[in-house]
Amino acid sequence: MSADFKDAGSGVRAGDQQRHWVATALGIVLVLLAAAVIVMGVMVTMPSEGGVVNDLQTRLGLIAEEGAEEAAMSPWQVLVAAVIVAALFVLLARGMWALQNWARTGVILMLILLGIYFGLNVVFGAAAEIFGGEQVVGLGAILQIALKGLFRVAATGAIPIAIIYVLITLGPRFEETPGQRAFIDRGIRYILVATALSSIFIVFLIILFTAARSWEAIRDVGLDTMLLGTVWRPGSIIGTEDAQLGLVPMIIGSILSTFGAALIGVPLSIMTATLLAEVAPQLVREIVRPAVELLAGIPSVVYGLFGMVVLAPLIRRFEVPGNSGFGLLNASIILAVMIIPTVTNIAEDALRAVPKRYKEGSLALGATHWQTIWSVMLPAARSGLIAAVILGIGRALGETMALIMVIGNAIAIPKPLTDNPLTLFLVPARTLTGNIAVEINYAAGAHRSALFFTGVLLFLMILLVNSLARFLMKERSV
Amino acid sequence: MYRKRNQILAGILVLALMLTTISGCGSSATQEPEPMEEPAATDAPAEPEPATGLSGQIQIAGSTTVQPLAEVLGESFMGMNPDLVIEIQGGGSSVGVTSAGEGTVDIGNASRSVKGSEFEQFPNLQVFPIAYDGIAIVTHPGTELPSLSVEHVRAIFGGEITNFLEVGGPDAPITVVSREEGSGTRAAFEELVMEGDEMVPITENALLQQSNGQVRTTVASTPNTIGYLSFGFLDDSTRGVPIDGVEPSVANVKNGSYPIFRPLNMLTNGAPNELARAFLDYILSDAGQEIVAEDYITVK
Amino acid sequence: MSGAQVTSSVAEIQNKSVVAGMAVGSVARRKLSQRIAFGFTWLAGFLAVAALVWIVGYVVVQGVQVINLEFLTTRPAGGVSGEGGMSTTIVTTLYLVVLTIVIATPLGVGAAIFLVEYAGEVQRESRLMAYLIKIARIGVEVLAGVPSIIFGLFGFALFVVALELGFSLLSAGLSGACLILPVIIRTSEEALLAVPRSYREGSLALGATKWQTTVGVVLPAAMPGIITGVVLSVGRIIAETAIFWVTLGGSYRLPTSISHAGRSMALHVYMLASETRAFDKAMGTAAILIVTIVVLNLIINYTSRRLAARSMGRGR
Repeated sequence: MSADFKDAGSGVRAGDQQRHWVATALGIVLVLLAAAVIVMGVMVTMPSEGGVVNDLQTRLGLIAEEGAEEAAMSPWQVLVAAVIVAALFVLLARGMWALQNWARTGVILMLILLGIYFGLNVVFGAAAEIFGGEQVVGLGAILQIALKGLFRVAATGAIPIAIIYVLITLGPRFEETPGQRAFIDRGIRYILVATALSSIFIVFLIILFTAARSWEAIRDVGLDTMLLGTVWRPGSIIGTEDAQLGLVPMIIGSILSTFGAALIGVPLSIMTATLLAEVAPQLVREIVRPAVELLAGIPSVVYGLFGMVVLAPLIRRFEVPGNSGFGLLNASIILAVMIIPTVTNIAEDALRAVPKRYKEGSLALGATHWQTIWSVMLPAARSGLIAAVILGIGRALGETMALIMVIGNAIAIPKPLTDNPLTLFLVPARTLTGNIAVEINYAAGAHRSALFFTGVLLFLMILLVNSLARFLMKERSV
Repeated sequence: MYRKRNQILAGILVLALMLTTISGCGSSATQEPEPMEEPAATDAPAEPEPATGLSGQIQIAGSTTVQPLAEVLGESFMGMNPDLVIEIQGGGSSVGVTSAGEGTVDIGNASRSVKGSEFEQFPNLQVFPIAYDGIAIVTHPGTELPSLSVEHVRAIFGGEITNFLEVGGPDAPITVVSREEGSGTRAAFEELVMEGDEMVPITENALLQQSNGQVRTTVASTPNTIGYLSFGFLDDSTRGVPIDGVEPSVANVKNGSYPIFRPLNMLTNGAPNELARAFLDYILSDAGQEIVAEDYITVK
Repeated sequence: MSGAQVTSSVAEIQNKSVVAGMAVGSVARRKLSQRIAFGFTWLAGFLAVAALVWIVGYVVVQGVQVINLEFLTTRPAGGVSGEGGMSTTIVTTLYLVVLTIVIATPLGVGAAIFLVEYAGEVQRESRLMAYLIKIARIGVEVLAGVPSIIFGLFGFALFVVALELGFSLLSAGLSGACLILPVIIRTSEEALLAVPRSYREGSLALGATKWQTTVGVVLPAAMPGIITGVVLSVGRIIAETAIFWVTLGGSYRLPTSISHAGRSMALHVYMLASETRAFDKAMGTAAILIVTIVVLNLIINYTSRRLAARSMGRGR
């Protein structure tokens, strides 16, 4: 009995079944690496004429280059080193299965660090040597660099390996008395508190820096000029008095593009959400949902590229004078596609959260499925749906790169091109986000400060939007 | 059981330590563990001939007009100094002035002269003209325009003339393409073309681009556009418009018949450092100016 | 009438009017309007998938024509000519991903561990800590909603200018880490919360300390979820442009240290598309980007499915 407890006190096993996943993966990688090292070591120590192996041998110093006195290393050294390195890897792999508690954590951590270190070594070395010089990669060159890196790591791995050794042998001993364990616990707790507060610290920093940098504009240019001024001509010269820093065109641009995106995207998303939640069979759901999620992952530059290359010529087909293909319509379409995943996801959740008895009651009364959805479920999910729309709007407001590629970036307040008010969307415009991205590189003085003010404005707008959405979502859970 | 396994492991590890260190010493692989090394900058005395064997880094940023020229000159200079890295970024002439003045880069590029207010802010700025460059008025290849006068150009970019028909072209509404305000090309264009009796501001409906490259891309792929480009960016993708009957070409700037051109400057804060000095000497040498002469006008 | 009878008859009346409203019109007509309405939902779903297929398909089809081994291993030749390949951008993106993950993961996982495991008792111990913890949670929510250009602006103001790190991998990595921190905290929190209490209780009963329990029992069990969060963040970093546009600089050369500038793949697409007319190369780079994201998404799906199966199959 006491023997059991003594064993147990020196470490906690998570259950024999629960193989540490990462450990397994790393273990397999290490075993494979060990095999590769052995193979390369053997290959390299064999005498050969010409070819990649000969090249490798010269590089490793096994064969004397012309003019050198003698080889820097003997084949035996290489073979022994290869065997040692391989054995190391195998042992570490095995060790990870067997070792427990924080020693294991340490081992894994060290291995990850070693892996990153080794990877960086190889990659930096390979990249600098290969890409710095010639244009095309040769397989032999890669092998050579990898081998060099491996040996470099083995030689300099002495220190991490020593640390691991210390961890392995001393680990269990350090946790024997309750006092020591409590000490570790308290120390860890302080560290963790620091990491937890890091998020709020970063927010604080962000607010501090952007607000501080925007103070100059607020003081010199004035809130009223910036928020109500309709002309944006900052003047490229430092500290010019002629600078006109009115943000109204950009505010209108942001609002209009978001509105257009919502107009196209929200009905589409809600109907898709209805499809996913109520109408579609399992098979279709399996296709549509991953597709919608994938839309969320596509980089915004790709959307922008698509808008530039495909949508712009298509939009130019509208025979309206002044239609260049770049403008609010292009931006709205792109943005609509970008917000589909956000809105669909939350709307679907909202629909699924409607209590079953509403639906069942309505169907029992004789309503059709669609009538149920329309008259009962959608109203019941109302707050969730509104939250979804609001989050989508927040996403649209924050989008930058895709928009600057398709919206034209003109500083004018958008006005319809002809009598038809719809042509408003064919006009180029500029958003608040685009303004920042495009001008921050060269802005100076009050101009730069005004851009920071734009950042603060955006931050507040999105904060408001997100808080509203979160409030509505919490209210929904009744 | 624990202890025994640990001891075996420890023993083998110590053995491994010893042997790998031995083989590490003997191998030709370097001992340097640092994957991130910076090549040390060495001092090179200024020579009348282009310096060779320099090592280090030169950071250059600024005008997108000067950028391709600087890149070609840089490649050539780096060819003579394999351990030297010259990094060139864009951003516009204002970036060039500011970063040179603030010291964020070694050399700043500007495609215009430095303004008085900028000298006030950065009193130690030194200006090195390296070339002259013309500004061409370009349209989409599908738009055929006869020669334009400077007044016409001013009216078009000012938003007064809104259809190509009014200046002898096809019946199509004009889409103006211009640059961001930090652009030296734009500043030079405004000074040379838009300044009539008074400064006519460029129309606010213009599509604003961040570099010469972007202007070229937009004008080349969007019908019914007109914009202005540095000579160095002229190619078949856009159509250059003659001004007062004069084609935009290097020869015409040299003989004085093409009116729109400006200096290309490289700026440093105070005296340039060793590497920058060497590079500037190279650019102003015959070899460097030969490269300049390919697409631009030399300073001599 | 009794209260119950009143209630039920009121309900009856309400139901009747609802039913009356619903039952207006023949069944056939209602079925027709249902078919039309459902038709619209099918159309919507179809459009969403079609948009994906069109965009991804177009870019990949156009891009694949440019991709070959040479394209992947040659470096871009100059900022304005559009020639060359994209090799340095791939490597730079890799550096960036590693850097941001290395910075953000310890912070994020640590924060999650604290919020899940330790926050309870710390809250009870001190009012100040309870207040700070509440603010920390709000902080995570706020961070999650900040648009990326603000992170770029902040990174520019703090890292590039104030700390004088300049346009470099370091500035970009630090800014990017701020972006993914909330993602990692959230997913790690979820993963940690999903570990059954019995694990912790069993371990503590055996005499392990809280930290030993956390590291030896809870963390391994939550590992797949945490890894999912990390992979998610990797996907975001690869797709991100705005932040790196203002902190990384645009140099096409290979950065040889973390204080060098560089260009990520997404930035390269932007530069190619706008500065040069090499739309084909831009499509090629974009295609590589998309393929990478798709692969990452598949990995995430696979691991989260495995995670769900595991926790269901355990039945402890």
